[in-house]
Amino acid sequence: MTYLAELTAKVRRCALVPLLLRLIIALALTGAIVATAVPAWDVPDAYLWIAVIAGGAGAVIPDAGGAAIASGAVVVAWAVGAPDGVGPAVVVTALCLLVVHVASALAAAMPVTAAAAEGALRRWLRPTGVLGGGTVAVAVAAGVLNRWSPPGSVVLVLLAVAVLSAGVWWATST
Amino acid sequence: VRAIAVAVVAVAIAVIGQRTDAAVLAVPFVGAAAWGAARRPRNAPSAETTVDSTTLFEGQWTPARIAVRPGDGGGEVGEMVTVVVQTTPWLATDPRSGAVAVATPGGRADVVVPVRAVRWGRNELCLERAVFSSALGAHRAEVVGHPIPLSTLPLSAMFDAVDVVPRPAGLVGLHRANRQGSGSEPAEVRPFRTGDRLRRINWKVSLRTGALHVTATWADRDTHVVLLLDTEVDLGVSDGVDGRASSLDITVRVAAAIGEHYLRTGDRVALVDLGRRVRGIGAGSGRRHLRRLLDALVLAEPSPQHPADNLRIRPIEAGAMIIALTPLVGSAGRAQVVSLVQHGHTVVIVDTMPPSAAPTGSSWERLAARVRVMERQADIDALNELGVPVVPWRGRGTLDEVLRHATRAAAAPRRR
Repeated sequence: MTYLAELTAKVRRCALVPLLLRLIIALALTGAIVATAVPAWDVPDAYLWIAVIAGGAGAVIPDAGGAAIASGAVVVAWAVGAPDGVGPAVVVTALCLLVVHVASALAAAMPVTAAAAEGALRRWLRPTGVLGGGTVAVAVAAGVLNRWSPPGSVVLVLLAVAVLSAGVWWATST
Repeated sequence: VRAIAVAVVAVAIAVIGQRTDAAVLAVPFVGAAAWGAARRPRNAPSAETTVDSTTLFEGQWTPARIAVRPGDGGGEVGEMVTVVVQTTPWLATDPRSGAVAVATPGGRADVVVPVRAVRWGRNELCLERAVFSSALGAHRAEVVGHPIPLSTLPLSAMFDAVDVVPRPAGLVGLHRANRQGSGSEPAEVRPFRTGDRLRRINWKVSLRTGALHVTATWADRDTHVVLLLDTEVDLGVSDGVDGRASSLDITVRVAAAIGEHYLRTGDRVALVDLGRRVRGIGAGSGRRHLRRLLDALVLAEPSPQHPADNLRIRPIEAGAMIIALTPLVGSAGRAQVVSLVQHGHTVVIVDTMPPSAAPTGSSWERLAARVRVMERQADIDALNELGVPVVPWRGRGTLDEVLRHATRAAAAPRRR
Protein backbone atom coordinates (compact mmCIF):
# COMPACT_ATOMS: atom_id res chain seq x y z
CA MET A 1 0.00 0.00 0.00
CA THR A 2 2.83 2.37 0.89
CA TYR A 3 4.69 1.48 -2.29
CA LEU A 4 1.51 2.05 -4.30
CA ALA A 5 0.96 5.38 -2.59
CA GLU A 6 4.55 6.42 -3.35
CA LEU A 7 4.16 5.35 -6.96
CA THR A 8 0.91 7.29 -7.24
CA ALA A 9 2.56 10.35 -5.73
CA LYS A 10 5.44 10.08 -8.22
CA VAL A 11 3.06 9.78 -11.15
CA ARG A 12 1.05 12.75 -9.90
CA ARG A 13 4.22 14.84 -9.82
CA CYS A 14 4.81 14.13 -13.53
CA ALA A 15 4.05 16.94 -15.94
CA LEU A 16 1.71 16.57 -18.90
CA VAL A 17 4.13 17.11 -21.79
CA PRO A 18 6.80 14.55 -20.73
CA LEU A 19 4.04 11.99 -20.13
CA LEU A 20 2.52 12.71 -23.54
CA LEU A 21 5.97 12.31 -25.13
CA ARG A 22 6.35 8.90 -23.49
CA LEU A 23 2.91 7.94 -24.73
CA ILE A 24 3.87 9.07 -28.25
CA ILE A 25 7.07 6.96 -28.08
CA ALA A 26 5.04 3.91 -27.03
CA LEU A 27 2.36 4.46 -29.69
CA ALA A 28 4.87 5.11 -32.49
CA LEU A 29 6.89 2.03 -31.55
CA THR A 30 3.70 -0.01 -31.50
CA GLY A 31 2.88 1.37 -34.94
CA ALA A 32 6.35 0.44 -36.25
CA ILE A 33 6.17 -3.08 -34.82
CA VAL A 34 2.63 -3.66 -36.09
CA ALA A 35 3.53 -2.33 -39.55
CA THR A 36 6.51 -4.71 -39.53
CA ALA A 37 4.65 -7.75 -38.23
CA VAL A 38 1.12 -7.54 -39.68
CA PRO A 39 1.91 -8.09 -43.37
CA ALA A 40 1.90 -11.73 -44.31
CA TRP A 41 5.66 -12.23 -44.61
CA ASP A 42 7.58 -14.17 -42.03
CA VAL A 43 9.32 -11.81 -39.61
CA PRO A 44 11.23 -13.62 -36.83
CA ASP A 45 9.46 -13.07 -33.50
CA ALA A 46 12.75 -12.64 -31.61
CA TYR A 47 13.48 -9.26 -33.24
CA LEU A 48 9.98 -8.02 -32.51
CA TRP A 49 10.22 -9.13 -28.88
CA ILE A 50 13.54 -7.29 -28.58
CA ALA A 51 11.85 -4.23 -30.08
CA VAL A 52 8.92 -4.53 -27.65
CA ILE A 53 11.11 -4.89 -24.53
CA ALA A 54 13.65 -2.26 -25.54
CA GLY A 55 10.86 0.03 -26.69
CA GLY A 56 9.11 -0.32 -23.33
CA ALA A 57 12.32 0.62 -21.55
CA GLY A 58 12.83 3.48 -24.02
CA ALA A 59 9.35 4.85 -23.34
CA VAL A 60 9.92 4.86 -19.59
CA ILE A 61 13.55 6.09 -19.69
CA PRO A 62 14.00 7.87 -23.02
CA ASP A 63 17.73 8.57 -22.60
CA ALA A 64 18.68 4.97 -21.74
CA GLY A 65 19.14 3.73 -25.30
CA GLY A 66 15.99 1.61 -25.42
CA ALA A 67 14.60 3.51 -28.39
CA ALA A 68 17.83 3.01 -30.36
CA ILE A 69 17.82 -0.75 -29.75
CA ALA A 70 14.13 -1.00 -30.62
CA SER A 71 14.61 0.99 -33.84
CA GLY A 72 17.61 -1.17 -34.78
CA ALA A 73 15.62 -4.34 -34.07
CA VAL A 74 12.77 -3.17 -36.33
CA VAL A 75 15.21 -2.37 -39.16
CA VAL A 76 16.90 -5.79 -38.79
CA ALA A 77 13.46 -7.46 -38.69
CA TRP A 78 12.67 -5.84 -42.05
CA ALA A 79 15.98 -7.00 -43.44
CA VAL A 80 15.67 -10.65 -42.41
CA GLY A 81 11.93 -11.19 -42.66
CA ALA A 82 10.38 -9.02 -45.33
CA PRO A 83 10.71 -9.32 -49.08
CA ASP A 84 12.41 -6.52 -50.97
CA GLY A 85 10.20 -3.73 -52.21
CA VAL A 86 8.72 -0.45 -51.09
CA GLY A 87 5.08 -0.39 -50.00
CA PRO A 88 2.87 1.50 -47.55
CA ALA A 89 4.08 -0.67 -44.65
CA VAL A 90 7.70 0.43 -44.98
CA VAL A 91 6.66 4.10 -45.22
CA VAL A 92 4.52 3.76 -42.08
CA THR A 93 7.38 2.00 -40.28
CA ALA A 94 9.89 4.68 -41.32
CA LEU A 95 7.59 7.49 -40.21
CA CYS A 96 6.89 5.74 -36.90
CA LEU A 97 10.64 5.31 -36.30
CA LEU A 98 11.13 9.01 -37.08
CA VAL A 99 8.49 9.93 -34.48
CA VAL A 100 10.12 7.56 -31.96
CA HIS A 101 13.50 9.20 -32.56
CA VAL A 102 12.26 12.79 -32.23
CA ALA A 103 10.00 12.10 -29.23
CA SER A 104 12.81 10.21 -27.46
CA ALA A 105 15.25 13.06 -28.07
CA LEU A 106 12.74 15.59 -26.79
CA ALA A 107 11.73 13.52 -23.76
CA ALA A 108 15.38 12.88 -22.89
CA ALA A 109 16.07 16.63 -22.89
CA MET A 110 13.81 17.30 -19.88
CA PRO A 111 12.93 15.60 -16.62
CA VAL A 112 9.54 13.94 -16.38
CA THR A 113 8.35 16.68 -14.03
CA ALA A 114 9.29 19.59 -16.30
CA ALA A 115 6.75 22.08 -17.52
CA ALA A 116 7.44 22.53 -21.23
CA ALA A 117 6.59 25.72 -23.06
CA GLU A 118 4.68 25.48 -26.33
CA GLY A 119 7.37 27.37 -28.23
CA ALA A 120 9.98 24.75 -27.34
CA LEU A 121 7.82 21.98 -28.82
CA ARG A 122 6.96 23.97 -31.95
CA ARG A 123 10.66 24.32 -32.82
CA TRP A 124 10.91 20.55 -33.14
CA LEU A 125 7.90 20.24 -35.43
CA ARG A 126 9.56 21.82 -38.48
CA PRO A 127 12.53 19.41 -38.74
CA THR A 128 10.21 16.49 -38.01
CA GLY A 129 7.87 17.57 -40.80
CA VAL A 130 10.74 18.11 -43.24
CA LEU A 131 12.24 14.69 -42.47
CA GLY A 132 8.81 13.01 -42.69
CA GLY A 133 8.19 14.64 -46.07
CA GLY A 134 11.66 13.64 -47.25
CA THR A 135 11.03 10.05 -46.16
CA VAL A 136 7.79 9.85 -48.13
CA ALA A 137 9.48 11.44 -51.15
CA VAL A 138 12.37 8.97 -51.02
CA ALA A 139 9.91 6.08 -50.60
CA VAL A 140 7.94 7.22 -53.67
CA ALA A 141 11.15 7.56 -55.67
CA ALA A 142 12.30 4.14 -54.53
CA GLY A 143 8.93 2.62 -55.49
CA VAL A 144 9.10 4.20 -58.96
CA LEU A 145 12.67 2.97 -59.39
CA ASN A 146 11.67 -0.52 -58.24
CA ARG A 147 8.93 -0.69 -60.88
CA TRP A 148 11.22 0.73 -63.55
CA SER A 149 13.92 -1.58 -62.23
CA PRO A 150 16.99 -0.09 -63.85
CA PRO A 151 20.32 -1.69 -63.05
CA GLY A 152 21.81 -0.28 -59.84
CA SER A 153 18.53 0.99 -58.39
CA VAL A 154 19.81 0.63 -54.82
CA VAL A 155 22.65 2.92 -55.69
CA LEU A 156 20.10 5.38 -57.02
CA VAL A 157 18.11 5.21 -53.78
CA LEU A 158 21.25 5.75 -51.74
CA LEU A 159 22.09 8.61 -54.04
CA ALA A 160 18.67 10.06 -53.29
CA VAL A 161 19.37 9.70 -49.57
CA ALA A 162 22.68 11.51 -50.03
CA VAL A 163 20.95 14.28 -52.01
CA LEU A 164 18.34 14.57 -49.24
CA SER A 165 21.05 14.83 -46.58
CA ALA A 166 22.92 17.45 -48.57
CA GLY A 167 19.66 19.35 -49.08
CA VAL A 168 18.91 19.29 -45.36
CA TRP A 169 22.44 20.43 -44.60
CA TRP A 170 22.15 23.28 -47.05
CA ALA A 171 18.66 24.27 -45.84
CA THR A 172 19.69 24.41 -42.21
CA SER A 173 23.08 26.08 -42.64
CA THR A 174 21.84 28.99 -44.76
CA VAL B 1 24.29 8.76 -31.53
CA ARG B 2 20.95 6.97 -31.90
CA ALA B 3 20.35 8.46 -35.35
CA ILE B 4 23.86 7.62 -36.58
CA ALA B 5 23.80 4.05 -35.19
CA VAL B 6 20.44 3.14 -36.72
CA ALA B 7 21.32 4.93 -39.97
CA VAL B 8 24.59 2.97 -40.28
CA VAL B 9 22.77 -0.34 -39.66
CA ALA B 10 20.02 0.46 -42.17
CA VAL B 11 22.38 1.76 -44.86
CA ALA B 12 24.69 -1.25 -44.43
CA ILE B 13 21.73 -3.62 -44.85
CA ALA B 14 20.54 -1.64 -47.88
CA VAL B 15 23.94 -1.76 -49.59
CA ILE B 16 24.94 -5.30 -48.69
CA GLY B 17 21.52 -6.85 -49.19
CA GLN B 18 20.50 -4.54 -52.04
CA ARG B 19 17.33 -3.66 -50.12
CA THR B 20 15.48 -0.52 -51.09
CA ASP B 21 13.11 -0.87 -48.11
CA ALA B 22 16.08 -0.69 -45.71
CA ALA B 23 17.25 2.42 -47.54
CA VAL B 24 13.83 4.01 -46.99
CA LEU B 25 14.00 3.07 -43.29
CA ALA B 26 17.42 4.78 -43.12
CA VAL B 27 16.09 8.08 -44.48
CA PRO B 28 14.71 9.58 -41.20
CA PHE B 29 17.87 8.71 -39.28
CA VAL B 30 20.27 9.94 -41.97
CA GLY B 31 18.22 13.13 -42.20
CA ALA B 32 18.14 13.58 -38.41
CA ALA B 33 21.91 13.05 -38.17
CA ALA B 34 22.53 15.51 -41.01
CA TRP B 35 20.17 18.10 -39.48
CA GLY B 36 21.79 17.73 -36.07
CA ALA B 37 25.28 18.11 -37.53
CA ALA B 38 24.25 21.16 -39.53
CA ARG B 39 22.73 22.92 -36.49
CA ARG B 40 25.56 22.04 -34.15
CA PRO B 41 25.98 24.78 -31.49
CA ARG B 42 29.19 26.76 -31.91
CA ASN B 43 29.47 28.27 -28.45
CA ALA B 44 29.34 27.24 -24.85
CA PRO B 45 26.20 28.77 -23.36
CA SER B 46 25.85 30.46 -19.98
CA ALA B 47 23.02 30.68 -17.49
CA GLU B 48 22.86 33.31 -14.74
CA THR B 49 20.40 33.01 -11.86
CA THR B 50 19.09 35.94 -9.85
CA VAL B 51 16.20 36.43 -7.43
CA ASP B 52 14.30 39.67 -6.94
CA SER B 53 14.46 39.47 -3.16
CA THR B 54 16.74 37.40 -0.96
CA THR B 55 14.72 38.20 2.17
CA LEU B 56 11.14 36.99 2.22
CA PHE B 57 8.31 36.67 4.66
CA GLU B 58 6.52 33.37 5.14
CA GLY B 59 4.10 32.77 2.28
CA GLN B 60 5.71 35.40 0.04
CA TRP B 61 6.59 34.69 -3.59
CA THR B 62 9.62 35.92 -5.46
CA PRO B 63 10.64 35.16 -9.04
CA ALA B 64 13.91 33.34 -9.69
CA ARG B 65 15.14 34.60 -13.06
CA ILE B 66 17.47 32.48 -15.15
CA ALA B 67 19.04 34.41 -18.01
CA VAL B 68 20.30 32.10 -20.75
CA ARG B 69 22.86 33.71 -23.01
CA PRO B 70 25.21 32.51 -25.77
CA GLY B 71 28.93 32.40 -25.05
CA ASP B 72 31.52 34.94 -26.13
CA GLY B 73 31.12 34.22 -29.83
CA GLY B 74 27.35 34.74 -29.80
CA GLY B 75 25.02 32.71 -32.02
CA GLU B 76 22.91 29.66 -31.36
CA VAL B 77 23.37 27.65 -28.19
CA GLY B 78 20.63 25.14 -28.97
CA GLU B 79 16.97 24.89 -29.81
CA MET B 80 15.76 24.39 -26.29
CA VAL B 81 16.92 24.75 -22.71
CA THR B 82 15.58 22.91 -19.70
CA VAL B 83 16.34 24.62 -16.41
CA VAL B 84 16.00 22.77 -13.14
CA VAL B 85 15.88 24.94 -10.03
CA GLN B 86 16.61 23.07 -6.82
CA THR B 87 15.62 24.44 -3.44
CA THR B 88 15.86 23.44 0.19
CA PRO B 89 12.63 21.85 1.53
CA TRP B 90 11.01 25.02 2.85
CA LEU B 91 10.96 26.75 -0.50
CA ALA B 92 8.34 25.80 -3.07
CA THR B 93 8.55 26.41 -6.80
CA ASP B 94 5.97 26.63 -9.53
CA PRO B 95 6.06 24.07 -11.13
CA ARG B 96 6.72 22.01 -8.04
CA SER B 97 9.68 20.23 -9.65
CA GLY B 98 11.33 23.55 -10.50
CA ALA B 99 11.96 22.24 -14.03
CA VAL B 100 10.93 24.32 -17.04
CA ALA B 101 11.71 23.72 -20.72
CA VAL B 102 11.65 26.71 -23.07
CA ALA B 103 12.81 27.54 -26.59
CA THR B 104 15.96 29.60 -27.04
CA PRO B 105 15.39 31.75 -30.13
CA GLY B 106 18.63 33.49 -31.03
CA GLY B 107 20.40 31.61 -28.27
CA ARG B 108 18.67 33.73 -25.59
CA ALA B 109 15.95 32.97 -23.13
CA ASP B 110 14.73 34.43 -19.85
CA VAL B 111 13.15 31.77 -17.70
CA VAL B 112 11.14 32.77 -14.63
CA VAL B 113 10.50 30.21 -11.91
CA PRO B 114 8.34 31.61 -9.09
CA VAL B 115 9.63 30.62 -5.65
CA ARG B 116 7.57 30.73 -2.44
CA ALA B 117 8.90 30.77 1.10
CA VAL B 118 6.88 28.15 2.95
CA ARG B 119 8.51 28.30 6.37
CA TRP B 120 10.82 30.65 8.25
CA GLY B 121 14.53 29.90 8.30
CA ARG B 122 17.64 29.99 6.17
CA ASN B 123 17.14 28.43 2.75
CA GLU B 124 19.03 28.01 -0.46
CA LEU B 125 18.06 28.15 -4.08
CA CYS B 126 20.31 26.81 -6.80
CA LEU B 127 20.24 26.31 -10.54
CA GLU B 128 20.79 22.55 -10.39
CA ARG B 129 21.37 22.39 -14.12
CA ALA B 130 20.46 24.05 -17.38
CA VAL B 131 20.47 21.50 -20.21
CA PHE B 132 20.79 22.93 -23.70
CA SER B 133 19.58 20.69 -26.53
CA SER B 134 20.38 21.36 -30.17
CA ALA B 135 18.08 20.54 -33.08
CA LEU B 136 16.55 17.05 -32.73
CA GLY B 137 18.58 16.47 -29.59
CA ALA B 138 21.82 15.84 -31.50
CA HIS B 139 23.99 17.79 -29.06
CA ARG B 140 23.61 18.64 -25.41
CA ALA B 141 25.43 20.98 -23.04
CA GLU B 142 24.91 21.40 -19.34
CA VAL B 143 25.52 24.39 -17.08
CA VAL B 144 25.24 24.39 -13.30
CA GLY B 145 24.70 27.39 -11.05
CA HIS B 146 25.79 28.61 -7.63
CA PRO B 147 23.60 28.46 -4.54
CA ILE B 148 21.78 31.66 -3.60
CA PRO B 149 20.97 32.03 0.12
CA LEU B 150 17.45 33.14 0.97
CA SER B 151 16.26 34.20 4.38
CA THR B 152 12.62 33.71 5.34
CA LEU B 153 11.49 35.93 8.19
CA PRO B 154 8.88 34.49 10.58
CA LEU B 155 6.49 37.42 10.57
CA SER B 156 3.24 35.57 9.84
CA ALA B 157 1.52 35.52 13.25
CA MET B 158 -0.72 38.48 14.17
CA PHE B 159 -0.43 39.96 17.63
CA ASP B 160 -1.93 42.90 19.43
CA ALA B 161 -2.18 43.67 23.12
CA VAL B 162 -3.80 46.15 25.46
CA ASP B 163 -1.77 49.20 26.31
CA VAL B 164 -0.87 48.13 29.83
CA VAL B 165 2.43 46.81 31.06
CA PRO B 166 3.28 45.94 34.67
CA ARG B 167 6.20 48.29 35.26
CA PRO B 168 6.67 50.97 32.63
CA ALA B 169 10.00 52.77 32.88
CA GLY B 170 12.36 54.80 30.76
CA LEU B 171 11.82 58.27 29.38
CA VAL B 172 9.67 57.94 26.26
CA GLY B 173 7.07 55.51 25.05
CA LEU B 174 3.40 54.91 24.62
CA HIS B 175 2.50 53.12 27.87
CA ARG B 176 0.79 54.93 30.71
CA ALA B 177 3.12 55.15 33.70
CA ASN B 178 2.02 54.60 37.28
CA ARG B 179 2.81 58.20 38.15
CA GLN B 180 1.75 61.56 36.81
CA GLY B 181 3.93 63.52 34.49
CA SER B 182 4.22 64.70 30.92
CA GLY B 183 1.91 62.60 28.81
CA SER B 184 -1.33 62.54 26.87
CA GLU B 185 -3.79 60.61 29.05
CA PRO B 186 -5.63 62.87 31.57
CA ALA B 187 -5.24 61.82 35.21
CA GLU B 188 -7.02 64.50 37.26
CA VAL B 189 -7.76 68.23 37.57
CA ARG B 190 -5.94 69.68 40.56
CA PRO B 191 -4.91 73.10 41.89
CA PHE B 192 -1.96 74.79 40.25
CA ARG B 193 1.41 74.16 41.87
CA THR B 194 4.74 75.79 41.32
CA GLY B 195 6.43 74.20 38.34
CA ASP B 196 3.24 73.36 36.44
CA ARG B 197 3.32 74.41 32.80
CA LEU B 198 1.03 77.26 31.86
CA ARG B 199 -0.44 75.38 28.90
CA ARG B 200 -1.75 72.77 31.31
CA ILE B 201 -4.06 75.29 33.03
CA ASN B 202 -7.70 74.23 32.79
CA TRP B 203 -9.36 77.64 32.26
CA LYS B 204 -12.96 76.45 32.59
CA VAL B 205 -12.40 74.95 36.03
CA SER B 206 -10.18 77.89 37.07
CA LEU B 207 -12.93 80.42 36.20
CA ARG B 208 -15.63 78.37 37.93
CA THR B 209 -13.65 77.86 41.12
CA GLY B 210 -11.81 81.20 41.17
CA ALA B 211 -8.40 79.50 41.61
CA LEU B 212 -5.95 78.24 39.01
CA HIS B 213 -6.35 74.55 38.21
CA VAL B 214 -4.36 72.35 35.83
CA THR B 215 -5.17 69.13 34.02
CA ALA B 216 -2.64 66.57 35.18
CA THR B 217 -1.73 63.65 32.89
CA TRP B 218 -0.21 60.25 33.35
CA ALA B 219 3.37 60.06 32.18
CA ASP B 220 4.08 58.11 28.97
CA ARG B 221 6.79 55.53 29.42
CA ASP B 222 8.21 52.60 27.58
CA THR B 223 8.94 49.17 28.93
CA HIS B 224 11.59 46.53 28.62
CA VAL B 225 10.27 43.27 27.16
CA VAL B 226 12.42 40.15 27.28
CA LEU B 227 11.44 37.27 25.00
CA LEU B 228 12.60 34.02 26.52
CA LEU B 229 12.64 31.26 23.90
CA ASP B 230 12.65 27.58 24.79
CA THR B 231 14.01 25.97 21.61
CA GLU B 232 15.43 22.90 23.28
CA VAL B 233 12.93 20.58 21.57
CA ASP B 234 10.60 20.80 18.58
CA LEU B 235 7.31 18.99 19.12
CA GLY B 236 4.58 18.29 16.61
CA VAL B 237 4.55 18.46 12.85
CA SER B 238 5.57 21.42 10.74
CA ASP B 239 3.80 21.84 7.41
CA GLY B 240 4.91 25.37 6.72
CA VAL B 241 2.87 28.54 6.74
CA ASP B 242 -0.26 26.90 5.28
CA GLY B 243 -0.38 23.80 7.44
CA ARG B 244 0.24 22.52 10.93
CA ALA B 245 2.74 24.30 13.14
CA SER B 246 5.25 22.63 15.44
CA SER B 247 6.15 24.00 18.85
CA LEU B 248 9.25 25.66 17.40
CA ASP B 249 7.16 27.24 14.63
CA ILE B 250 4.78 28.69 17.21
CA THR B 251 7.67 29.85 19.41
CA VAL B 252 9.48 31.64 16.61
CA ARG B 253 6.38 33.17 15.01
CA VAL B 254 5.01 34.34 18.34
CA ALA B 255 8.37 35.81 19.34
CA ALA B 256 8.48 37.70 16.04
CA ALA B 257 4.90 38.93 16.39
CA ILE B 258 5.28 40.06 20.02
CA GLY B 259 8.64 41.64 19.27
CA GLU B 260 7.20 43.52 16.32
CA HIS B 261 4.23 44.74 18.38
CA TYR B 262 6.28 46.13 21.25
CA LEU B 263 8.97 47.60 19.01
CA ARG B 264 6.25 49.36 17.02
CA THR B 265 5.01 50.96 20.22
CA GLY B 266 8.48 52.24 21.07
CA ASP B 267 9.46 49.69 23.70
CA ARG B 268 12.77 47.98 24.14
CA VAL B 269 12.86 44.26 23.32
CA ALA B 270 15.55 41.71 24.14
CA LEU B 271 15.82 38.05 23.20
CA VAL B 272 17.18 35.14 25.23
CA ASP B 273 17.26 31.61 23.83
CA LEU B 274 17.42 28.68 26.20
CA GLY B 275 18.39 26.39 23.29
CA ARG B 276 21.30 28.68 22.52
CA ARG B 277 21.05 28.26 18.76
CA VAL B 278 19.70 31.78 18.48
CA ARG B 279 22.28 34.25 19.65
CA GLY B 280 20.99 36.46 22.43
CA ILE B 281 19.90 39.92 21.40
CA GLY B 282 20.29 42.78 23.84
CA ALA B 283 17.55 45.29 24.51
CA GLY B 284 16.93 47.75 21.73
CA SER B 285 14.19 49.55 19.91
CA GLY B 286 13.27 50.69 16.44
CA ARG B 287 12.89 49.10 13.02
CA ARG B 288 16.53 48.15 12.74
CA HIS B 289 16.29 46.26 16.02
CA LEU B 290 13.22 44.41 14.71
CA ARG B 291 15.25 43.29 11.70
CA ARG B 292 18.07 42.18 14.03
CA LEU B 293 15.54 40.21 16.04
CA LEU B 294 14.02 38.51 12.98
CA ASP B 295 17.44 37.70 11.54
CA ALA B 296 18.34 35.98 14.80
CA LEU B 297 15.05 34.08 14.98
CA VAL B 298 15.52 32.43 11.57
CA LEU B 299 18.46 30.52 13.05
CA ALA B 300 16.30 28.74 15.63
CA GLU B 301 16.71 24.99 15.66
CA PRO B 302 16.01 22.34 18.26
CA SER B 303 19.18 21.80 20.25
CA PRO B 304 18.74 18.98 22.75
CA GLN B 305 22.53 18.73 23.14
CA HIS B 306 22.54 22.08 24.93
CA PRO B 307 20.52 21.54 28.13
CA ALA B 308 18.86 24.76 29.16
CA ASP B 309 19.51 23.89 32.83
CA ASN B 310 23.15 24.88 32.37
CA LEU B 311 22.42 28.22 30.74
CA ARG B 312 23.12 31.25 32.90
CA ILE B 313 20.91 34.09 31.80
CA ARG B 314 22.54 37.50 32.03
CA PRO B 315 21.03 39.76 34.68
CA ILE B 316 17.86 41.35 33.37
CA GLU B 317 16.96 44.95 34.09
CA ALA B 318 14.65 45.32 37.08
CA GLY B 319 11.03 45.88 36.10
CA ALA B 320 11.38 44.15 32.76
CA MET B 321 8.43 42.13 31.50
CA ILE B 322 9.54 38.63 30.56
CA ILE B 323 7.46 36.68 28.08
CA ALA B 324 8.57 33.05 28.06
CA LEU B 325 7.65 31.00 25.00
CA THR B 326 7.87 27.35 25.92
CA PRO B 327 6.01 24.09 25.28
CA LEU B 328 6.55 23.31 28.99
CA VAL B 329 8.18 19.98 28.33
CA GLY B 330 11.11 19.09 30.52
CA SER B 331 12.18 20.92 33.60
CA ALA B 332 14.67 23.34 32.07
CA GLY B 333 12.29 26.04 30.88
CA ARG B 334 10.29 25.86 34.10
CA ALA B 335 13.43 26.07 36.24
CA GLN B 336 14.61 29.21 34.43
CA VAL B 337 11.19 30.81 34.81
CA VAL B 338 11.10 30.03 38.54
CA SER B 339 14.56 31.53 38.91
CA LEU B 340 13.48 34.74 37.16
CA VAL B 341 10.33 35.03 39.29
CA GLN B 342 12.41 34.60 42.42
CA HIS B 343 14.54 37.53 41.22
CA GLY B 344 11.42 39.69 41.21
CA HIS B 345 10.65 39.81 37.51
CA THR B 346 7.18 39.73 36.01
CA VAL B 347 7.00 36.58 33.88
CA VAL B 348 4.21 35.55 31.53
CA ILE B 349 4.34 32.15 29.85
CA VAL B 350 2.91 31.55 26.39
CA ASP B 351 2.32 27.83 26.02
CA THR B 352 3.58 26.80 22.58
CA MET B 353 2.56 23.14 22.71
CA PRO B 354 0.80 22.48 19.37
CA PRO B 355 -2.31 20.28 19.00
CA SER B 356 -0.44 18.18 16.41
CA ALA B 357 1.94 16.94 19.13
CA ALA B 358 -0.61 14.38 20.38
CA PRO B 359 0.82 10.88 19.81
CA THR B 360 -1.06 8.46 17.57
CA GLY B 361 1.13 5.39 18.04
CA SER B 362 0.68 2.28 20.15
CA SER B 363 -1.43 2.10 23.28
CA TRP B 364 1.76 2.29 25.38
CA GLU B 365 2.78 5.52 23.64
CA ARG B 366 -0.67 6.99 24.25
CA LEU B 367 -0.50 5.94 27.89
CA ALA B 368 2.94 7.51 28.28
CA ALA B 369 1.62 10.66 26.64
CA ARG B 370 -1.29 10.80 29.10
CA VAL B 371 1.14 10.53 32.00
CA ARG B 372 3.23 13.32 30.47
CA VAL B 373 0.16 15.51 29.99
CA MET B 374 -0.70 15.07 33.69
CA GLU B 375 2.87 15.95 34.69
CA ARG B 376 2.72 19.00 32.45
CA GLN B 377 -0.56 20.11 34.00
CA ALA B 378 1.03 19.74 37.45
CA ASP B 379 3.90 21.99 36.27
CA ILE B 380 1.41 24.57 34.99
CA ASP B 381 -0.49 24.51 38.31
CA ALA B 382 2.78 24.97 40.21
CA LEU B 383 3.68 27.96 38.05
CA ASN B 384 0.22 29.47 38.55
CA GLU B 385 0.63 29.12 42.31
CA LEU B 386 3.90 30.98 41.95
CA GLY B 387 2.03 33.83 40.24
CA VAL B 388 3.14 33.02 36.70
CA PRO B 389 0.22 32.98 34.27
CA VAL B 390 0.35 30.35 31.51
CA VAL B 391 -1.69 31.13 28.40
CA PRO B 392 -1.97 29.20 25.17
CA TRP B 393 -1.26 31.14 21.99
CA ARG B 394 -4.51 32.46 20.49
CA GLY B 395 -3.22 35.25 18.29
CA ARG B 396 -4.39 38.82 18.88
CA GLY B 397 -5.22 39.58 22.48
CA THR B 398 -3.53 36.48 23.87
CA LEU B 399 -1.78 38.49 26.59
CA ASP B 400 -4.52 41.08 27.33
CA GLU B 401 -5.99 39.40 30.40
CA VAL B 402 -2.66 38.38 31.93
CA LEU B 403 -1.16 41.83 31.31
CA ARG B 404 -4.06 43.53 33.10
CA HIS B 405 -3.69 41.08 35.96
CA ALA B 406 0.09 41.53 36.13
CA THR B 407 -0.29 45.33 36.09
CA ARG B 408 -2.75 45.19 38.98
CA ALA B 409 -0.40 42.87 40.86
CA ALA B 410 2.58 45.16 40.24
CA ALA B 411 0.66 48.20 41.49
CA ALA B 412 -0.45 46.44 44.68
CA PRO B 413 1.55 46.95 47.88
CA ARG B 414 4.17 44.26 48.44
CA ARG B 415 4.23 41.93 51.39
CA ARG B 416 7.59 41.22 52.91
